[in-house]
Formats: sequence, structure tokens, C-alpha cells
Amino acid sequence: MQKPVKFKQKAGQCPMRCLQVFILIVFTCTFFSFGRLVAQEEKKPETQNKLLAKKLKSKSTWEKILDFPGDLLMLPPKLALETSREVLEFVDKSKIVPKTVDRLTSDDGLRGVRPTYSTRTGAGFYYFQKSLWQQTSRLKMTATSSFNGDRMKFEFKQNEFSLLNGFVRGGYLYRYTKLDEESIYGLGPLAEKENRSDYGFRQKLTEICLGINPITNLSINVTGSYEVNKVRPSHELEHTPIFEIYDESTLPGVEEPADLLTWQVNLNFNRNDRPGNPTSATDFRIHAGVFNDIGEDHFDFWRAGFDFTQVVHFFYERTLAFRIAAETTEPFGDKKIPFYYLSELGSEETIRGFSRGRFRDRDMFLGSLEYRYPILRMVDAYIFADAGKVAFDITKEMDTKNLQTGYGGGVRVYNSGGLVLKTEFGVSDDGGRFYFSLNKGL
Amino acid sequence: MFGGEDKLDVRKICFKLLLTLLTTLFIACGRTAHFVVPESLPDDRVPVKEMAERDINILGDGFDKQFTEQLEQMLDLSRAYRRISNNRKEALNVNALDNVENSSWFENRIHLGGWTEEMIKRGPDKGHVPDPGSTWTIFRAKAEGVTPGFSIIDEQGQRYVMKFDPIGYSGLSTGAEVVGTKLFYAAGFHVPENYIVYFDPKILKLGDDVKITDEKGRKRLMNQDDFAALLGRIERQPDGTMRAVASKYIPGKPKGPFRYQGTRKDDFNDIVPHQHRRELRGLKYIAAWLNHYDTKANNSYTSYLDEGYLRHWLIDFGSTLGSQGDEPMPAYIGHENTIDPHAMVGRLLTLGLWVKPWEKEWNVPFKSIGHFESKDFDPQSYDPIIPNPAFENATMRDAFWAARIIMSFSDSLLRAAVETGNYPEPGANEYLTKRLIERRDIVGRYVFSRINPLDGFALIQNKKGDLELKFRDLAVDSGLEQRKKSGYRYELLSKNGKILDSHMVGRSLNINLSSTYFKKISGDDNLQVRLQTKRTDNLNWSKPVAVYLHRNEKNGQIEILGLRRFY
Repeated sequence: MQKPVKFKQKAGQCPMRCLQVFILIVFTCTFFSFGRLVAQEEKKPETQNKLLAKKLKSKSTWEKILDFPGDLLMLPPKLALETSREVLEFVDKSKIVPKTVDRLTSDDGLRGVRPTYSTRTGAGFYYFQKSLWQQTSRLKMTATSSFNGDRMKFEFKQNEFSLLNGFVRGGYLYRYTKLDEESIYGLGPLAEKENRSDYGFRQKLTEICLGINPITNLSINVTGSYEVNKVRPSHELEHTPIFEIYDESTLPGVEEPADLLTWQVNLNFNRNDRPGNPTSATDFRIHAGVFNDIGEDHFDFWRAGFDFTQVVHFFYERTLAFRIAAETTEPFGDKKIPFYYLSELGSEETIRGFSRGRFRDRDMFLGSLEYRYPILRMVDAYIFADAGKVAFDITKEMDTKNLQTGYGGGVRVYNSGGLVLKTEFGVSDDGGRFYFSLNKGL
Repeated sequence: MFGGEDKLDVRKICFKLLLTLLTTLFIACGRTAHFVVPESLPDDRVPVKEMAERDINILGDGFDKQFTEQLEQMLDLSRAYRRISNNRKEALNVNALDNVENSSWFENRIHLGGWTEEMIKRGPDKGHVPDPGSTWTIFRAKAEGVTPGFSIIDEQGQRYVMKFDPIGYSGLSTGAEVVGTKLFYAAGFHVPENYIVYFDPKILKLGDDVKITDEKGRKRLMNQDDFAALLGRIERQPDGTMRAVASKYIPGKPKGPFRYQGTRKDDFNDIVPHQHRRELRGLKYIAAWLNHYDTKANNSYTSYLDEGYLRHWLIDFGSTLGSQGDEPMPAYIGHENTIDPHAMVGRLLTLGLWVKPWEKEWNVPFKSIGHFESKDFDPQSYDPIIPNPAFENATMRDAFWAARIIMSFSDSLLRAAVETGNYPEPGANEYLTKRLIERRDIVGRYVFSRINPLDGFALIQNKKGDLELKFRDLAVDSGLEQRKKSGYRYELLSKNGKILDSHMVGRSLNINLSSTYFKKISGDDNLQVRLQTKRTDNLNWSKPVAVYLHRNEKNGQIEILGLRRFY
């Protein structure tokens, strides 16, 4: 008995089939288009002078055939764009944003709930209440968390109390912070990337603050606080746990909790000609504080520093932002400084491109230059270069040796009220890092 | 059957088939050699069934224009081919003389000639100015937004939308609104009646049931406090009065804005895709001239008239000339779309080091005028707020149509139009008029240097009884070129495109048609007169304009069949 013949597909046949199917589709469309065209031609004398004339086509049949491959290619992106358009229209028509804001706000506008985001502690909500106990006061309760719950912050804050007929402002704060993904690479400017170890950190902070505004744009604040700090094992398993490398003698604060009573003075001068994208602005901060251990009395130290940012007009809406900052942390006598209170470099606030706490030591110096230029209305792009150094005693190491640098660029979106969001990418010897922040900075 | 050799052959056959198909398509998309008289379109002002009112979402429409349609254009092969072969799709609603007929969209006005200063000052106005001596009752209000506004009904029962200037810029928005109205009306578009009024706020009365949307998006009844707050955001004149534009409600039932693309499905009169309407394509150049950058769908309007058809209107000219409505026109206006991906990427990559000329030119010499310059004005590359499909399809023929209208505005007519803006600052009128004249001439020079500006073709009999083809040189008539520096020549071509004869005409604007070739025209035959223009300061002859002549079988007379402008 003869076996039935089996036809097997061979390699390379699939593209041919696709081509054949494509040609078939093209010819089918052509056939039907011609059919419609002939029908139109036949009907023309009847409709020519009629009231309801046939609508003209924006493209002829030949053009439609020629455009067919492009139309096919366009299908997926068009679907995505149409969906985006629908979503946009829904958001706009339904007024879902103002309605949600309205639902989250009391009728008198004094109380409400809002979403919030912070790079360090994640996303969450805050509740605010204005005019509680006093007309000017503002209460704010915040709860944020990272997606995996490794970073959390709970804060209870009430400020803008008016004292002495408004001459003095006051406020208080309670905050609990849980950071389970912190890293340390060692101390000093030569800390290696490979020496990374991870730890968890808990802080409870209670703070009272009093401040005055002696002149416009200048504020002076005095803060007294009580902090309980403790290092814990990290949930991060990729790197060596901190307790396997360090002990209290090699890294103060790693085992001993620090219960600190602190007193700090802050002086802030802030001038800005145009919130959001200033062409002339100055932001000058000086801080000095004393930290006393009221627990085991291991840690007594003081810290002082300044941070100066100047924005100047360069040419045609292009601006330059210079920043210089320095900080020193010194122990009293033979007391120690917990390692998490040392001056540090890394992250979007210091040298972009390095991770937070990449370099730690007693002293820190930082310089930054940013060139901003408009790319759209209310959108600026910028490029930057950061350089900085940590040292045991910066006065003895005023050179470029062990200077850490980073560079990169970003985009900032602003409105007449101020900066709305900022997204940037920094590159350093450690590689590249992406940052995103809301409503932050000059 | 599926062996290697056979497979190769099939591929070859398919490739050849595709090639043949594409070649056929390319040829089919090509330009026709013969002149085809365009089919006359039915009048779109005949009664049709009333349609429902519709709304176009600003954000959705902007998103479509800025992203979806831009992507579609990138993959539009026929369009790309037409661009490469310089055979762009022409407007579909033109007649044989390349003009548009009066319609629900447009009426031929100023370029027909005979316009006086009084006519331009009157514009669309029918004298329904609200009486500031009577009580105006507010029946609708807009509390949100940068500039406040409300609608009133006067004692005669007429309804108006009241629009105001931003604080510190008296005359900026209201002046632009009224001057823009007069100019767009004279150009031929349907526009509302807009009047500048000064009134004592005491004549305003808050009506019952006036609802406002507050900052939180909630609708509620407007109370006296809201009313006082709203009035507090309006600038007072030194004598305590308020200056406003009273925009009379458009007649007919509102049916929402029109799109600059496609047709309205429920309007059976609307048969020409809007992006291929000559008046909307040509609007690109008129809008560029008047800095009417905000040509999105929502600044248009349609109303169903008592006569039973839909009329199409242009509205909201407060953001024209030097005004952006709430502030002087920013520098980028007209040079870039508000979200312009090309410009954004360009600037991102060049680190903003390339400063565009317009970035250096921003100035506001008069607060009531705002920023309105002629330096660096380029009508061809003028960019509206979002890409406009009709503007993007505009060809040089559309540009010529628009330029002919624009150049019809004489200096004195422009001066008269500007006077209606009632600008409070001394010297503002002169400044605005000068800029309008300069921009007008820039448009004229741009277009007339690229397309032959001969127009007004007519057949007349001279004193000897010979037939002559008479024409005008719009560049000379409008003062852009001098008669003594201009010369013309023509070629006679048969219906098949064969050159029969050629002549230099010199400076004369007449061509004698007594040639034997003209006498031989009969039946379906036609003769093509291709005219070219040359200026003494230019070595090259212009592109031709072809006038097609044929013999009317009924009366035996030679007539103009149509014309085609080459570019």
C-alpha cells in the first residue's frame, strides 16, 4: 500500500508565505476599492446636482493602496496613541483631578489629604490641617513607604505658630524613619565600591524649633531635638551585612545606639526673581549644631557647614547655577561620632552618579556647576558637573587628590509657582544613576 | 516544488510583481498633463437636517494633532511621494480659475476690490452695540482662568460675551480682538460682531441662576461676593469705567467647533475634507500675517442658521497680533508649536547654544500692542499652537490665493482697521499699522517670488476689434515691484502640450489673440497661453501661469476655460 505523501515546510518558507499573503491582501483591497470606485462613477450623474452630494474622499484609491503598508505599520502605535488620547480626554472631561482634590479637602479648605513622594522614603500621603489652635499654624501628618516597605517615614509636624506678636515663629515635629537599604563603603575618600555593605537604620526624632525673620528673605532658626538612632541588620542580602565587617571600634555607632540631644542654629537667605526657572537667585544656608549623647555618653560632637547656590543669567534665558558647600564634623575630646552622622557625598543632593553615603568622613567639600537652557515652554534641560571630596581634615588636604567627580544632565519642569519635577541622570566612576524628584530645589 | 531554485524564482516573481505594482501606483499618483475643468461643487448653503451639538476636547484634539497625526504623516507614503515629486495634493473646492466660491465657510470680499475705509471699519457689525446707559444683566460667568469673563443680556434682549484685558495691559487683548475681527472679516471669513465698550460697572446686575465653576471644579450659584471678586480682577480706566469687548452671540443654534480635518458626518452639506479646503489651507498665510497662532479647533464655531444650514465661523481673536490674551505674545509664538518635538530635540542636542534669531528680538514697545514684530517673520514656516492639518496641506496655490487677499489690504485700509482697536497709548496705532504693512509685504514678496503673480485674466476686444487677453500683475499693483522693471512673455501650446508659438510681450498687460492659432480653436480643442514674468533684477523667468482658452460651441466666442499656476 502506498504511503500518503507528506509535505513538510522548509526553512525560509515563512517569509515567502508572508509576502504572498501581503500581495493577496493588497490585490483584494484593490479589487474591492475598484468595485467601490466603479459604483461611485455610476452613481455620480444621479448625485451631482442632488442636495445630498457624496462626500469627497481625502485620498484617491491609488493613494490608499500605496499607503496600505504604512497604515499596517501604524496600527499598533496608533492604537496606543488612541488609548492615551482617550485617557487624556477622560481625565479632562471627568475633571477627575480637581474632583479628587476636592473630595480630599474639607469644605472650608482647612483640612485635606494629599499624595506625596520622596526619593529617600518613597510615596505616601499627608494629612494637613490649617489654623489648628492658632490662625497661622499648619499641622501636617505624613506617611510614606517604598514599594517593598524597606523605607518608611511617619511624621507629625506642626509649625508656623506665631509667638510674641508674630516676631517669633515656632513649631514642633515628631518623626520615625525606617531605612533598611542603607549602604556604607568604608570611611575616607578611598572607599571602594566593592567594599559595600548594607545596614538598616531606625531613627526617632522629636524636635522643637523657634525662628525669626529679621529682614526679608532671611530667616534664623534655633532647633532643639532629641534623637534615638540605631543600626540594624539590612534586609538586603546581595552585599555583606555591616556586622560581619565592622564592630564598634572600627565603625562607631554600628552597635551602640545613639540617644542624642542636639541644639542647632540655621541661617537661611533665599532670594529668587522667578520661581521655577530663576534667572537670578541666591540660596545661602549656614548651620551649626551640638550633639550630646544622653545615653551611654559615647558620642559627643559638633557639626557646622554652609551651602551656597547662586543662579546667574548667562544669555537669552540660559542660566548658570553655581553651588559650593562644605561641612565639618568634629568630636568633643575623646568622644566619637556615629558613622551615619559623618559628612557624606553621593546622591542627587551632592555628587550625582554616586549612591547615597558613597564617601563618608569628618569633613566634606562640594562644588557644582549647572547650565540650564529652555527646550520648551516651562521645560528646561540642563547639564551639570559635580566635584567633591571627603577628608579627615579638609584643611590639610586642600588639593585635587582623591577628588570625586560626577556629571550628567536632566530635565526640569516648572510653573509660575516653582519647580514641579526634575529628572536627571548622573554619571560617575561608579556608573550611572537616575534620579527623580518633585517640588525640590531652586 | 519548494526546492531552492524554485524558491528563488518565486521570490523574483513576487519582487517584480511588487515593483510593477508600486510603479503603477507612482504613475497613477502623478500629475496629469491635460487641464481638467474641476467639477463644480454644490452650494453648501442649502437646508439640511439639523444636527446635534458636539464638543471637541482641547487636550484630546491637541494630542491627536501633535502626536498621532504627526506619526501618521511619517508613514504616509503617497504624501511623501507627492512631496518628493513636487506634486502635492491641491485644494478640492476650487473652480476652474483656482478660486473658491462663496460658501458657508467663506465669502469673497476684499480682493474683489472697491473696499473703503468705512467698510473695513464696519466689518461684520450690524450696529448692535450694547447701550452702556442701560442695565446689563449677567447670565453666565467664568470665574476660573487667567482672565475673567461673563455673558450679559442688555435691555434690548441682545446677548454678548464680555471679554477683558489682563491687568496692566489695557487694550492688549480687546484691541487685538476687534482689529483681528475686522481683518478676518474683510479677508472673507465669517466672524462675530465684536465691539469695544467702556461702561460703568454699576450698570451690571447679577442675574438669577448664574452658575460658576470654582477652583475645585465644583459648579455652584454665583453670589455677590463672587461677583465682586470677579469685578476686582478687571482693570479700571482712569475714569473708573471698564474697557471690554462685547462679542455678540453668533446667530443660529450652536453646533460646536469644526475640525481642520475630515468632514462632519452629520452635515450633508459638508462634502470637502477640511484639510483640502482652499480657504482653510490659505488661512495659514492670513493667520501668519496676523499672528493668529491659536488656530485650534476650539477657536472655531459652527451655528445652524434659520435658513437650515451650518455656517462656519472663526472666533476668539484676543490672541492675535501682539497679544496672547493674558500677556504679550511670547517670543516663540509662530516659530514653534507649543509642544514642538523637533525643536525640543534640536535644542536638547545643541545644548541650547544655538540661539534662534527670534529669541533675541522679544520686545514690547507698547503694552496695548504687546509683542508684534516683522523682523524674522517667515510666513511659510509659521507654526500655530498645534499642528494644523489644513495648514500642513497648504501648497503654493493656496499661498497665492491667500497672498492675493492679503495684498488687497492697502495701507489706508489697514490704518482704518487698526483705528477700530481704540488703543489707549499714543503712537500705538502707527506702530501696529507699520508692522501689519511690513508683514503683509513679507507675505507678498515670499509668495509672488515663487509663483507667477499674474491674475485678473479677462478677454476683451480692442479698438481694432481683435480679441485680447488682459491681465494684472499683482506684485506691481501692490507696489512690491515696479512696472518699468517688469516684463512678460508667453507661449502658445496646443491641447497636447506642443509649443506652437512664443512671444515677448514686453511691459504690456495685454496679449493679442488675433493669431491664426486662436482662430483654429474648435470643438473640444483648447489652447494654452503660458505666461511668464521677469524682473530686471532677476535673471530668471518666473514659473508660468497657464490660461486655457476654448471656443464656446453655442455662441462661437473664445472663452477662458480655466487656469493653472505652476510652481
